Amino acid sequence: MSYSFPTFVETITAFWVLLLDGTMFVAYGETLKPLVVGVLISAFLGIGIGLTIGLSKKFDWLLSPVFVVMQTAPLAALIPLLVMIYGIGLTSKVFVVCIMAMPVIVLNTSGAVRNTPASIIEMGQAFLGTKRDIILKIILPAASPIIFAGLRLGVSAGFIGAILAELKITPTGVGDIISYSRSIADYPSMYAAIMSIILLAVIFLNVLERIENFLFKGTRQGYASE
Amino acid sequence: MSNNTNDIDNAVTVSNVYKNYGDVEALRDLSLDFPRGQLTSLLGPSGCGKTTLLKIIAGLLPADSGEITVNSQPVTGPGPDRAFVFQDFALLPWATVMRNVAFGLELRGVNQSEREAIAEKYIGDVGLKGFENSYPHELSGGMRQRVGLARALSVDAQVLLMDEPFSAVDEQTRRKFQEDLLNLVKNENKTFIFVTHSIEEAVYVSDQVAILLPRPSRVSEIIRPEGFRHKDATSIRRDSEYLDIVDRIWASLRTYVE
Repeated sequence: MSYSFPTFVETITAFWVLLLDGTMFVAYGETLKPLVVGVLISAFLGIGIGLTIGLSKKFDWLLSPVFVVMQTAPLAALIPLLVMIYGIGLTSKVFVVCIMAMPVIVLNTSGAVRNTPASIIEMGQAFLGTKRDIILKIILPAASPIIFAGLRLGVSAGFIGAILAELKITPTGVGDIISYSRSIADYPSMYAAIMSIILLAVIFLNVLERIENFLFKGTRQGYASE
Repeated sequence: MSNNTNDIDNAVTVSNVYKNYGDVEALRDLSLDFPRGQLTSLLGPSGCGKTTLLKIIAGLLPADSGEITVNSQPVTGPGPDRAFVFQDFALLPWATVMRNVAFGLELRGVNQSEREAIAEKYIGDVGLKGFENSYPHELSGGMRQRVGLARALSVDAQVLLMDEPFSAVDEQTRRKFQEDLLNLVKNENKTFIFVTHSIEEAVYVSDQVAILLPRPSRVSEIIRPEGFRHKDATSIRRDSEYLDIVDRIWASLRTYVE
């Protein structure tokens, strides 16, 4: 029993071994492909679709249910279906990442857009802003804290999706380290791999927060009228 | 005091305007003229449609029927001849005072150095020199509204539409604002349309007070408090005509206040 729960020191040692013999780098070379592609697609498409849904009642009616379904669907059970359609390659894995990451990005973006204070939009109209000005200079910056909150949640979900894909579709990359070392009862390596993905996610989320603070200085201070 | 405005050049005219929100009648056959270079208040109990009327003049809301003209041109939407001051200031929280004040010009496509030079002047005029790089959350309510006022002044519109601009600031700041507004009306050659629910405020700052009553919404009376207009800002509040008009308006409004 205790053999399945290695000590912290054992895990860290295994982590350094995996890192120094290059296994980790090769693994991440594989894992990052669907992860980065999936997260990028989810972020750009997700914010775009979220914006459209937030601005238009028709698109809200048309598309919102799709993302609610995506968010609540039991993904693990659907993976065999994806594999049947798209095979065991990168496409299926990217799909899994997107299904995990996109709904929360879309739903947060559309909610944030819809909740832009009416008075600053009215201000934009009164001062002769074009539709484009109002979206780019008022609605997007106003919605950005919640859009970024959605991005953070989406990216975390994307990390889960990437590993899930590697465990359920074909064992490659970090998912391979996890399942292989479990099969040979090398538990320290398994936990080291899990730890590495958490570490990477934390670093990534931190970078994202820095980007947000850099782009929208002051937005976090709340509305002056409140 | 007189109700005769026929010989006055009107900057804004509103004729036979109707506006419904679903089944609710907000404005019914409302007509009102706004003399150029003067301040007209829209005064009335809540629900009388005064903000609706202001937004229709601004072009932010369409009227169901009737005509609004600004400088004899019919209003079809927001225009460069009108600027709006908002009750809740409507500042961009992520933008500095400078960008907020210059935002109206930014939306009009004025280049950065030019619009910042103009904004700089009005920031000074409203007394916010030194706060150019502050964010709205760092300012008091009164200062935020000064930013809103500077933004409206900087686009140099002939008509200034003010929607209860002082209602969200504290009483002392409000008094100071009212005195400043008197000077503004005197010095800037602009037409002011001012929505308020404060009788004292309306009588204090206005050349013309239009009293709006609800159910159905209409202009019940137009009062022109002229007798004390020449007096200095501090002695108006003790003027007997001022006090009489305040009393008279309250007498006609009190039955409409639940």
